[in-house]
Parts: sequence; structure tokens; C-alpha cells
Amino acid sequence: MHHTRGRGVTGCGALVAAPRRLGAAMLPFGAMADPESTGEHANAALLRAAAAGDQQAWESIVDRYANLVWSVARSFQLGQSDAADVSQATWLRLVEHIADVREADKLGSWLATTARREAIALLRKGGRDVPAGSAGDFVGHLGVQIGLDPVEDEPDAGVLRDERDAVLWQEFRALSGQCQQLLRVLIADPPPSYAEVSAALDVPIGSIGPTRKRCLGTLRRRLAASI
Amino acid sequence: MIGEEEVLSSLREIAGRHDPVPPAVLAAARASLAWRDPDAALAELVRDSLDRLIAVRGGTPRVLTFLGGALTIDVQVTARGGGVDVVGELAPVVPAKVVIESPGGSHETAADGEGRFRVEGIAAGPVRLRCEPLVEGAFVPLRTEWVQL
Repeated sequence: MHHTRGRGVTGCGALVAAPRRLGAAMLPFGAMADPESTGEHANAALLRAAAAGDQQAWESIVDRYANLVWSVARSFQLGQSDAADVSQATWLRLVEHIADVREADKLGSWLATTARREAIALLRKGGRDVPAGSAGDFVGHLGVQIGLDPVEDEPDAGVLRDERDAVLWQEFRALSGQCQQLLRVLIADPPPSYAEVSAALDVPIGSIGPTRKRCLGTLRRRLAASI
Repeated sequence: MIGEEEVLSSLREIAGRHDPVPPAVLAAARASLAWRDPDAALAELVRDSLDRLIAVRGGTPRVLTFLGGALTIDVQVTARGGGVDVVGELAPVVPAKVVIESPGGSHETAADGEGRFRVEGIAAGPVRLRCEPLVEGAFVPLRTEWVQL
């Protein structure tokens, strides 16, 4: 991925209409807004309401996707404070464009993409070179630098619920940077779609299944060997 | 050997217990709608000196350029202590109120006769600028994209 910012850090081009018109091309819907539903129609209704200033609709959106945004930020090996900054920047970006969101069913992917870009912007601001190439390559590079040391503010293996959890988390942290990044996004709650994972990591959707299998295979074999 | 789904579920459970979205982060996200500003047009970031291929070390100020309609806003950001100082210039020159907004607070100033403004001691973090004409109707009020200073 080459990191271009000619238009600033915005969401996917397909998602943000240009030129901007208030409420441009919002999807029609027939269903009542239902905060429990994650379908396209529900998102469209919630976004339209939030764009008009409906705080409850906005909170429904936040509650649905906050963990995904947090997980993407954390997948970049960011500490709590940096991840909080990325999260805030991501949600501010959505408010900034709230009236322009066209494809409500891709909101999760839009947020994941934005969180990725904000994480990279934050790393750049901190003076860290972000090499060209996919985010996965970058985190893999980070993984080599950080080694097996725990990231600040992460679960301390000593306080995890039981021995099994402690071993599992240790083995997870011993995986490659690329595997850790993929799995950290995959374990977001609710589980993300592969489209959302693809957006978070800037990798082809088709690569996710095989990489997931490889990473989980490594983890599972190591767990079996550690018994 | 443990199954794929089971290990993923276990990891998800651990993350849920020990790395959830912090309450303060969730609260800040929910409060973000207050930044909705439909009355102002969006001035996009069209240039950011941070996007160099080769990072420049040292105290070089960061330069940002926003474009909103016919108005260009150039901003030079210098780190000082835990915050930043901002020196900006509007082009073309037009009497304007400039507000530097951030979740931590707002700083209000005005562009002088040469379109310049200055604000010191802004907390690092997300920031945007809001420009309003002092003469009503001189230009559409603008809000810049959020940037991380």
C-alpha cells in the first residue's frame, strides 16, 4: 500500500460522495431503525438520523463498531493512549463526513480503513518510518523490533484467568507481527467480516482465509506442543 | 489439537476481558457527534509536510494547507513543550474569525490585515480550524478536516 494523503485522511473514495450534498444518495429504507440489527437498512437509517443530530442513533453506531476500531488500533501494537487517540480520530472523521456516507452497508469497512490510516498517521507523526507496502509488512517489521516483549498496557500473563489463558496469550504474542495483527482484528467483537478485515489490514479479501489458517495452525501446533 | 474456531473464541474472550474498549474511549466516541458542523463547508487538507518520503529529523515546523472554496489556509505547526504553536495565513486576505477547535478546548483569534493569525499552547491531539467571515456573506464559513497535531 502506498500511503497517499493528497486529500487528507478520508475514508474510501467510494464511500464519500463528491461533490458533497447533504443527504446525497442515501440508501432508501423501509424498515424502522433497529439498533440491534446490523443490516444495511439499519445502518442507513442510523447514519441519516445521526447526520441530523440524533444522539441515540449515533450511540448505536458507536456501540456497534467501537470494538472493531479499538481492535484495529491495537493491532498496530499501539499502547492504550495511542490507541485512544486513533479511536478518537476515527470517530471524529466519521462525524466530519456523516452527511456524505453513501454505502451504509460498508460502514464497518470505512471505519476499519479510517482507523488504519489514523494509526499510520500517528506512527508517522511520532517519527517512525512507515515503509511502503502493506500494513501487515509494517507490523511484521515492528514485531521484529519489539521481539517477544509484551506491549505496554496489555494483559499481563500473570493476571489472566487461568493457566490455559496465560499460555494461549503468550503463544499468541510469540507469533509473527503479521499473524498477531490479523488475529487481533479477527477477535474483535462482534467478529468482523472479511471485508472489514481486508479494510483494516489493506490486504486482499482472498488472502485472509489462507493467512488465518496458517497463523492459527502455527498457534494450535505450539499450544499442543506446550502441553 | 484444539480447533481453529475454539482458539479464536478463546482469544476473543481474553481480549474481551483484558483489552476491551476503555470506558473513557467509548464515552469520547459517543460524545463526538457534538462536533457535527453542517453549517460550515469542509476545507480539505491538500498538503501536509508530514507526507515526505524521507522523514526530516529535528525541529522543522510542520506545514499544512487546507482548501475550502476559494480560501486557502496555510498553517505552520511548531512543537513546544507538550503542545504546539500555530501560525496561519488566509489567502486571499479577508477579515475572519479563526477558531482552533479540539476536544480539549477551543482558542479563538482573528486574522490580521495580512490574513495572518497565531495561537500558542495548543494541546497535541486532534485539531481543526473554523473560519468565519467578519463581514457576513464574504465567504461560506469553513471547518477544516481534523488533523492530528
